[in-house]
Amino acid sequence: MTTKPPFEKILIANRGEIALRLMRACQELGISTVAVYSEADHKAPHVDMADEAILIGPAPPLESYLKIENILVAAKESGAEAVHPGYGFLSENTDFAQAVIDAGLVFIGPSPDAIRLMGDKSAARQLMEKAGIPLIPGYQGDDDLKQLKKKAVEIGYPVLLKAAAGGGGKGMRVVTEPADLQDLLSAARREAQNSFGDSRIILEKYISDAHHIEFQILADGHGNVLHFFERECSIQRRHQKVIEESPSPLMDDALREEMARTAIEVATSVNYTNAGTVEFIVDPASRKFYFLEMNTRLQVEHPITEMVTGIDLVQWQIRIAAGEKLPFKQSDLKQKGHAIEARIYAEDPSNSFFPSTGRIHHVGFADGEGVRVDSGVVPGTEVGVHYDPLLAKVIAYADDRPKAIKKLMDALRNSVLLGLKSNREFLVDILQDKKFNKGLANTRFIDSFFSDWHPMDKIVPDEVLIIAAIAELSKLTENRESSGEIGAESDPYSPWSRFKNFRIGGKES
Amino acid sequence: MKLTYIIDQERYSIELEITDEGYLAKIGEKEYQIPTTNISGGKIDLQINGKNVEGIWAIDGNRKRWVAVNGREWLLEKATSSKRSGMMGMQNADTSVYAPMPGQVRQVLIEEGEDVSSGQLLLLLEAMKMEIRILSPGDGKIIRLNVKEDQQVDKDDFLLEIE
Repeated sequence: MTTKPPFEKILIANRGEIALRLMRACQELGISTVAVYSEADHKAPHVDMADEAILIGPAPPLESYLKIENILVAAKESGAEAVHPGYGFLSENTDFAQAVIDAGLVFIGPSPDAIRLMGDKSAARQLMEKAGIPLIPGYQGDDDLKQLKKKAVEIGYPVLLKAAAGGGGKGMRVVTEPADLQDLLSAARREAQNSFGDSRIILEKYISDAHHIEFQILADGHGNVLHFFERECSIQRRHQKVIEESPSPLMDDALREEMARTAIEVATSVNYTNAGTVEFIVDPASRKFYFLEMNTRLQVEHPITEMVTGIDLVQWQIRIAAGEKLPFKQSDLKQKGHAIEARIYAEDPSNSFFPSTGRIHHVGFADGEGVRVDSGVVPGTEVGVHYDPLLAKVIAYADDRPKAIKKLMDALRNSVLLGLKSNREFLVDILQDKKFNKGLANTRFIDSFFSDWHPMDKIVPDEVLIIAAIAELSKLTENRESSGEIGAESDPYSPWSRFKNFRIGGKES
Repeated sequence: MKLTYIIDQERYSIELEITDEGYLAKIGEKEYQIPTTNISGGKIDLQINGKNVEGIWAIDGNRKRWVAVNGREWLLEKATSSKRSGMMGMQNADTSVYAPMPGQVRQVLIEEGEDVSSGQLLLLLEAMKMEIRILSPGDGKIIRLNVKEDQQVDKDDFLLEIE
């Protein structure tokens, strides 16, 4: 780089694929990186990739990645000038943002005020109501069972219970009939308390065919607030996104323009700066849209926006935080082609999507033109119970939707992940689904059609047993140091054509 | 060498012999000649009855084996002589209840000796901030409770038994 980098050194207060993604942006801008890690992560890829790495505590997040003091000590110790929180962990924690600023450092994100305003879902609703933003009918206030029961009837079942302090699907429950309210309320409360340290619950009308569509915003400190078009995120399980794409198949120009204008109004109403996402629920029948929430951070699915706009959102987060002005106008931004992302999770889709754990023995993501892999795992990575089960994101880009879907499907088919159950085959089946291909999938799509998904073909091919047995035998002979007479000799030139151009852990191999 | 693997709770056996040309595999009635094999770093490249096959494998501890072939990944469990597979799902027929996932016991809602009914909430497990409700698989009495609140459990750990 010939120009001066926006910062000399940034601390990345996160782990997994997003830490690697952020470090890549830093490297491209000529900025040194500091990783923080827990005892469980001393061999994690983000520790390897950073220029320096600082241990911040034991495995449980509350004692490490969520421990503000320890992260600030690490920042001071390393001499970092700015902190990027990524997503999850402390990214939407007002106290953290304020503590970073009070320590004389730059927080790469919005102001603590904006985080606080948008972070309290009931306060945000009230604020948006005043600003004239369309809202889903709902209720917030006294949240004892009796009151919620009364309000749920007023709003009309089905209703959605949500954590007042929440986001990311934690502490959410759909209640279809009054009899279930008590049970689901206590579950939502517990989850809200565990995830956010705040058990307050709000009510909302549940729109059953809803699409989840969100708009990416970047705002600088010079009064420029721009949108970077929409992302369709309707494919969700347990209110967590699985597949995202841009543009949305539901969108037309008129709706896009109206929603984008509203998203910018939302951001402007809280003097928003840096990257943020305004989430909407869209009712496809009426084509009405409702403000859901604003996420005051970078989103997991940001790469699809980067691919259709050609703008590196993370680099701009950093440059905006350093005080730079956005050099483009809204009319300069174009949504070109189609991008689609699939999230590979450590979970078993044939067993209620329960998390799976284990050591990654082999990982190979099929690469190719128009395919981007943001991965957080390498062979040897231990996937434990403490952290988010997202392992990697595979993103495909093409001229149009059918081609992008096909490209993503091929990439997923040719990827291999050994050592734990993942949702890879499940993702392929979704991408093959007729309804999905027609662009008709709503937020209930997985619950409605894939809730008891199993691999289509249950027959175990004989090849599987043969490979396992030969591997077993060769391992035995290898251990006894016998010769390679039985053909178990390793061959460095072994043809492995299908898996050429492997990308391991997001790096070119 | 005869090997038995459990895949998705089903047992599969294979006999593998080393021959002058390579391997001879027998699965049930079927025989496979495998003349060429290249094994390196978890990758395997072989010819089965004249057809080229490429796979990836991993040995995971004493019993777990992983194989990827033709775009699918398989988890195999090497069978031992004991009957219990250890890979059973959450509730098996003799009403022992096992952990469906690794995690922490958040709440224990029953006591040993308590009568429970089918579908009753027994335990809450939590992992990766996800909550799993362990429900009673049938009517009966809790005759053994093997976990306490806040205890860490692994997948397939024995939780409780109902009579």
